[in-house]
Amino acid sequence: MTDGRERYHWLRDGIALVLRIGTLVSIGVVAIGYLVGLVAGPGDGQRPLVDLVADGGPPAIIGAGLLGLTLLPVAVLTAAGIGFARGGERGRLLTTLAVIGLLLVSLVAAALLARPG
Amino acid sequence: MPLDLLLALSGLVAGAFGALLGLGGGILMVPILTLGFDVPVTAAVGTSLICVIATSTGGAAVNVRAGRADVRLGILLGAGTVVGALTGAVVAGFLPERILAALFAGLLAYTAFTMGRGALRARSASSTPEATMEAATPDGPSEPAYRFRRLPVAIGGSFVAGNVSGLLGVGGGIVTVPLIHLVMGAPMRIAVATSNFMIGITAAAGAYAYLFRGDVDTAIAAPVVLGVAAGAAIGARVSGRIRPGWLVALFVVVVLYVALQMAMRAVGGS
Repeated sequence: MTDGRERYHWLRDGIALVLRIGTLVSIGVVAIGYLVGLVAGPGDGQRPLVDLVADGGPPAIIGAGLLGLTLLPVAVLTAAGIGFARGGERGRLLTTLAVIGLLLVSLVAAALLARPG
Repeated sequence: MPLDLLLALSGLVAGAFGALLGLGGGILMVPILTLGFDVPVTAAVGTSLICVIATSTGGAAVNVRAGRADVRLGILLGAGTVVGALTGAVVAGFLPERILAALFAGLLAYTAFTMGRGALRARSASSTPEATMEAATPDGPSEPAYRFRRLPVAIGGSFVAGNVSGLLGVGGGIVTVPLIHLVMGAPMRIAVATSNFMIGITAAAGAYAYLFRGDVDTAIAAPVVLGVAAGAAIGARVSGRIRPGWLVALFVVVVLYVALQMAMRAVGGS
């Protein structure tokens, strides 16, 4: 029981750390992009992400921050998966990997379908 | 600049509200952006989905560390919601919106009724939490112990929650909170925190398409997301000090409001 609780604490703290750092970094990048936009002008920010990043400027910085935010659940699940692997929880590890796989499939599909032409 | 401040303030309210109730705040963000700021619906939905993730991550960082969110349960049910969200996004193209809205309104009304009745019964009965506490459950000294019930039903329900999310463009918390609380028997506070953890995973599945397609305007999304992140952090910190009965009451009011909106949409067809 104690071992299970220790594993849970490890899992809990690891995920909380990833969430905290990931949120701070992503939101920080969005904030930087927003502040740069206040000085340099916001630019055209309603374009496909690939175009935004390619053109640079404040929209690119904000777009990168938003992408980081959307990738955070994948990072959280990865941290959880590592925790489950360490704890020998095979069933939960497989479930976590399946969810990560589904998110990555939707990410790749979105990137491919958004390509011009 | 005043427009940005208004956007950030709207995000702050939606984020705090979402973190308090285990919702993503999308239920508020979409109408605020479309009706209040004249943002096109697709852009509002795309921005809203990113806000849902911000609400989830900002709130979950606090909730997971405090032991209020059950991570294992969240991931298990998250598998159902992600599959449901992807399926729902495909099916959405084939179903008339009026039928969807009518179904959703009925579901919400039933949820509000059941949760309200459950809260009233809980007030009159003494609290008798089940004694067994697994390593997976939050183990803070102030939290009641509980044991999951009806896991297969809950997994099926999470698929439906994801489906509703994909079909109707909401975070899905409006379904997952009652699912965890009423069906599985978890305390309201844990249901809210676990749902808050889950909705980020669910929303991410849909958000990629909007972001890559260019449906998210960074000039609008930036102040809103900054406000949402701040609001979610505040909401998650405050939620531990709010009585569960108040959370249920607030949740029922929100659900009834959304049900009314959906019913009007079904009747009006717009």
